[in-house]
Amino acid sequence: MAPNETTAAATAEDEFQVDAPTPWEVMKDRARSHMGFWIGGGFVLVCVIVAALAPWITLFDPFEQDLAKRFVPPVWNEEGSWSHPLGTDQFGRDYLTRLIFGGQISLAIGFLAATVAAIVGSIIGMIGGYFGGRVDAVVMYLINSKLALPGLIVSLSLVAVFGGSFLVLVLVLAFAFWDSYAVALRTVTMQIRSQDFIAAAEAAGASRRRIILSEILPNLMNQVIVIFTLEVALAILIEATLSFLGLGIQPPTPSWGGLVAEGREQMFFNPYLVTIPGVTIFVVAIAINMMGDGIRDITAPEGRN
Amino acid sequence: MTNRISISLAATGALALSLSATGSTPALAQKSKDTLRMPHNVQLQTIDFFITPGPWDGVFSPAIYSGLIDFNPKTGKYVPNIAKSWKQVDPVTYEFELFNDLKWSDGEAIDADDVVYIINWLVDPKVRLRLKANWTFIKAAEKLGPHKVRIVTKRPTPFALQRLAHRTYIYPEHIHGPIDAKKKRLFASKGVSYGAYRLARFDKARGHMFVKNDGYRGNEVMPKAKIGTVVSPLIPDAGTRTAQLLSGQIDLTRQITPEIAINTAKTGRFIHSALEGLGFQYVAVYGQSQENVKALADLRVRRAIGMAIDRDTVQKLHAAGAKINDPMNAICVPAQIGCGFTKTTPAYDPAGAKKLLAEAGFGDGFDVKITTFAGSIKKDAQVVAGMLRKVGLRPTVQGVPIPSARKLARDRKLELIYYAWGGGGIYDVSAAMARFFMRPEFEDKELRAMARKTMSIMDPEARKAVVTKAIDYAVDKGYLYPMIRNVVHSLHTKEVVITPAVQRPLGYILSDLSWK
Repeated sequence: MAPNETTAAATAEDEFQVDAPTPWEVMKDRARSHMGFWIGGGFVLVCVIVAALAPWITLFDPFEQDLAKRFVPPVWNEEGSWSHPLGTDQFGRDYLTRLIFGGQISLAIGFLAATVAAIVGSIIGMIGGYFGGRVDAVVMYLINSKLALPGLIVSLSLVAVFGGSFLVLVLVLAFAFWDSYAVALRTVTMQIRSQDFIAAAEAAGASRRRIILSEILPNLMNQVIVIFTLEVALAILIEATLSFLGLGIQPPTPSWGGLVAEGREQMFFNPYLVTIPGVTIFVVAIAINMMGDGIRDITAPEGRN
Repeated sequence: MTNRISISLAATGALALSLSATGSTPALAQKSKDTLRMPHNVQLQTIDFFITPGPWDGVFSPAIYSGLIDFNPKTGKYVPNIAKSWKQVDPVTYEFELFNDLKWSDGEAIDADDVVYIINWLVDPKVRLRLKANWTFIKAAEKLGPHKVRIVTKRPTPFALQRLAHRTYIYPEHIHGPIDAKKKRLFASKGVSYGAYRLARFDKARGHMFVKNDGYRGNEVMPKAKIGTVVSPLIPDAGTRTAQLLSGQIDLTRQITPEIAINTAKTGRFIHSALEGLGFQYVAVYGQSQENVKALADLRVRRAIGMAIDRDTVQKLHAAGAKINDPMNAICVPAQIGCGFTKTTPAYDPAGAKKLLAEAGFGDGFDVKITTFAGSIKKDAQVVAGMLRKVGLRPTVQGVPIPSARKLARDRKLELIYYAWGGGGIYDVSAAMARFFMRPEFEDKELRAMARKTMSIMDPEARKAVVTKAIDYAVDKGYLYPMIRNVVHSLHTKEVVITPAVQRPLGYILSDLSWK
């Protein structure tokens, strides 16, 4: 090879290496300029940290009643005081403390339910998409059966039958959401299944388990994360609905929906008892959705509408 | 998600608009039309105490139907209603002479056939009624003349007249009799009765309508109607009822929380009426409770529970200013015939309760589920739960509808119980004995035997002695702690006046209402 040819090839290689950022760098660039991701994600992170640290950062016991201090209004009311910044409820319990501990329950239920649903739904979806044929027919039957059920009504019935414990709520909500993962991942798995790198792995003698876990699953994580964030928000809303209807977490354990339910009777004269947890649920649900949208835009902007 | 948010915002806006609207519209009572609008909060399948006994039947039925006699708890005497006189011939035989000029609301005469028919229908073994046990003491009724009947009991029954004076309504045989046995619930909708009001319309959509019955004689206990028409639509939600009152669409609402009543009354446009009923709330530890939560099997723990609850505070919160004439010290009140007790719920002593729990080996507390009814009582149960938490227990509160509570009992899943009871509606201790001690809940044969004995002792003093022994025994065993007297909170316009002729089990009945 002539010296000038060698130099030209090296230069071309250098230019290629310098100009082509890695996928991680591309995502970092997208993330830097995505305001919704930072606002939503930041807010959710703060909520999770505050809820996790609830026993150490709150000044009151969420269950401790002080009947002499019932209906103390929030601090922005002229009768309010900084000793109870968000006021007290009908049993004289500090409302900020109840809200923070309620967040612990509501967020835990939301994240756990979405996690269980993600595990179950992903496994079912991947199995259907990878094996196809009769296995896929069974998977589709399961998915179609689930899609035919009215989610909220089924959840109400299940909670009414099995009770409103933490574990029951997580499992019921997971049951309500697994199909979202299964539907999406089945389709994507089918697409990936026909790619050359899967055929190469099979030709190299890789086991089915290894192919699914090492070759397919990493390529599905983007979809899983996006669905996960959306389902967390939905799980929090449905938990709030069930608690509002008296079927969720039982008092005196606080949850955001339970706080709205307890405050409903007092709505006319102490509206803060409803608006504070109501606005919290609303804002957290929006924030989680903003975070989910952000993750999708950062990891796979081509999927954006 | 976007759709969900849009729907939420639209709903919030609509609510805000409706609230602002209700706050600005003046209340317009219907005095000028002589029509009172008073909603009820549960769907009624019929207005017939025999078929669907419940709180609303307790308000409507006594004003629509009448019994042979009534009882005046103020004087402790019986007064005539359909019967003008009566006498006890022997320990098991009662004879009643009826007025001979009374008429059903359709113009037919009331006579002995009607009385004999309904009494024998009530005791017919084939007839299944939820409160059938109320009349099982009766053997039969027989006609002695056109306006004279005899009622024979199976055994000497100290509360026979009380039971006949409370909710043993006489129905018209010519209407009730021909209706198929399985469709007796249709009777009420025929609108033929003898009482201060007659049912003019049974309409679940537009509301039930009651019209004054001019042919009703009335007495000091069950007076004549003072308002021409009462319309009662179904409005289940307390907030909606309050909003409708504020906007002048109704004149009176019951079944609301004291906080709503007090705060609404502060506007100066409405009156909060709080009336003491005969019912009360209680804490109970059943046999199954002791199986499900081992700690509850220890008498010291059961006593500690009684000592941990500040009943005066719970009563004050519940009553919200209402005067309590008979504080709850036992499962009966002195006004009830045969009531006697020397031991009451232990005095409030949280330090003593903690000490007892520690002695029993439960100084660190224990988890316990308090089952109560769905509705306003759940709030009182939460107050009690807060007090138990202060001595170390870790209670949760489960509010369930009454049928679910019965199922939980059948399935033996109950732990600690916080229930309310209407007092049986009669001024005799027999109702409490039957309700609490003759059922199997406490699974104590000695207690059941004592209670059973009180049902047949005719000598008042001897009976009272056994009642006293039974109630004291239950307190000693820590089975049952009466907590507070039930108070009926109502909110109404200034033109409505509530004046119960006597103390009513449920505060008041339709014929206690009048215009200012």
